[in-house]
Amino acid sequence: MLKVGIIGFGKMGRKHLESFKRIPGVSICGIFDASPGKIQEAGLKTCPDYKHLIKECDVICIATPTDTHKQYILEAIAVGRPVFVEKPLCRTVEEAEEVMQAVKKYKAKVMVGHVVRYFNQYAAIKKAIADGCVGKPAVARITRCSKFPKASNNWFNSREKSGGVILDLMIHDIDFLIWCFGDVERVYAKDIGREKIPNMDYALAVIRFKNGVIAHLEASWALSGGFRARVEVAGTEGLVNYDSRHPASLKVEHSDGNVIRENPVDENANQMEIREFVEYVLNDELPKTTLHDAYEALKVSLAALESVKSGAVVKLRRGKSE
Amino acid sequence: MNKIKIGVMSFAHMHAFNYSKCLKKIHNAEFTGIYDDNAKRGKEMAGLLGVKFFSTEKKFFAEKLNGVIICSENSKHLSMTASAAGAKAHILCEKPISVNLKDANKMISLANKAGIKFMTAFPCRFIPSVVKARRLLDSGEIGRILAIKATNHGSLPDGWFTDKKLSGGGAVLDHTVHVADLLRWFTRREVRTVYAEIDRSIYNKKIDDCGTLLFEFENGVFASLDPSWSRPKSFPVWGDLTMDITGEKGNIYIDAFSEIIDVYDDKTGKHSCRSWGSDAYMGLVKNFVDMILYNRTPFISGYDGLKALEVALGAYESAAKKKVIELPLKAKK
Repeated sequence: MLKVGIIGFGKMGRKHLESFKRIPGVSICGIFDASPGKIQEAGLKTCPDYKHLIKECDVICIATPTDTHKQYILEAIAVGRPVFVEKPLCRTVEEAEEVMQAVKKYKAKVMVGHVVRYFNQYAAIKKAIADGCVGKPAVARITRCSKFPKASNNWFNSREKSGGVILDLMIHDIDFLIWCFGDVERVYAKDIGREKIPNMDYALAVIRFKNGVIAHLEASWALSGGFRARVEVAGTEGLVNYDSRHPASLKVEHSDGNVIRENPVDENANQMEIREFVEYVLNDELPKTTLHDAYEALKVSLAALESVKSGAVVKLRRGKSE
Repeated sequence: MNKIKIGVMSFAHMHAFNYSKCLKKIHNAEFTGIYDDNAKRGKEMAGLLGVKFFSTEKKFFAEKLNGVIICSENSKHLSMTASAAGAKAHILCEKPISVNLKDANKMISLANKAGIKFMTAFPCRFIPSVVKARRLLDSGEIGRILAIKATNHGSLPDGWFTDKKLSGGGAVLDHTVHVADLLRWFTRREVRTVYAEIDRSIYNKKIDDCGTLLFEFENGVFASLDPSWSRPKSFPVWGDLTMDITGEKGNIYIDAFSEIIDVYDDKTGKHSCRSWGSDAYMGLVKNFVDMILYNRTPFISGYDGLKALEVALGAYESAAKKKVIELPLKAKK
């Protein structure tokens, strides 16, 4: 039995718990959260001390606010525990460097939950590009919009903790584009941070990849409801496009006017990434999301934030741990 | 009352055909004829539209025209404007107003000195969804505008559009001016900074075919625009005009050319679409005719044309220097 310890019991901690529970040979060792009430409400046993939890379990899953990731990662890998950490890897470049050095030192296994790679539609877009459907890719457009996320202490509203919509939401698409197109040359971005509107964020970015592709990214926490994701890649010989507004394979209309659209899948993306993490730990099979790419996605996201702040184009630099 | 006499100068730009069809339908306008420096094209179009063809500007302006619609290659807008100003004919000039700021300024001053009205042809200002969106924004429906994400995609155009000497620029010039004008119209502000990534990686011609702009207005509103000719030949429609507007209290989405029916025709070998939307060209041409008829101030001025052009030129400068460019652009020595 592989014993899993979960640190952080918010939206993602709960999701990962469900995914771990469905994997044969995996058991839940314990759950820690800074507010243990949340765990008790869910009818689960809380673990009062995360240090104890790290000692007791075989692997650790971290789903806490971004600015606390580093500390948990370092403590877990120092005692040889493989780590699955929710994206982003951590909050700052300095923290990331520290993590990367420690990973090297302890030869640790760390996987970051860049879940977009596990969505079938995104995998299909990447494969279509690889199959030559667009020829040589030239311009990409990618969009991710939702309402403002709810979380304990409303930590998403704190730039210091979450990094806002760029570091928490746009990073999904930055990671996907890195998966498709490789390293980033430079980035320029704008967001509505200067407005200081509570519970709202919105950003646009332009990225030039080293392979020449120009990408436009939109990330929004300004929808009143619903969700929208889109990706389009055009090249020398064609264009591919996915839009979450494409008709769903299943639609349920309730008599009260409520409509549910759904594309049921054999294995959902969250389940897939957790399964790959377990296979990585047990069988050494490398997951689709490498730590290196997660580190790159973080650097590009932080470069976008830097661009917002300075109003200038930011060239990507090599990190100390590269 | 007499009809307003209008002639069309050059059919180099395909919009000449759209404008001509409108002229024929406007009851207080008389479509006097066509001048074209390409006589073969001019004669053919005149025949098709059932109007007279004039082989020289002299003969064309001898008709005592009240107004002309200039649809030449962009680089020839200046010389045709000079001729029209000389003949005291009011001008509706296809966008972009010109290929550089110097020519654009000259055109505006030529018209001023001649005492004629100069209007820039931005038909998108007459698209009902665009007009309605502006009204909603003005009414405060979604509060202050915070940011705008726009696209004006197209397919690869034919002929002189990809010849920089005649067009002055590719996709970025061709499409940026439309959206820059609409956003200036919406925000009532000028663009303060422009950043752009531009390339010619789709068709590998000697002119830009793709890119993305990210620019900021004087009041801090920022907007992105993708003006790429990135729709492949197999795409069901020619292109798009979209604007996703994020406001303090809500969002407005414009997808101006989404009013379409699906067509599956074996002859074309692909799924295609036909528009059922309103005719924006008609609004534009009618506005031009009314401007002359009722002695109005141009709804879209030469200055509007120039400021939209400046955003596109700023984008080229940004891409060349790989940095953010401040507007207004400094005059070139």
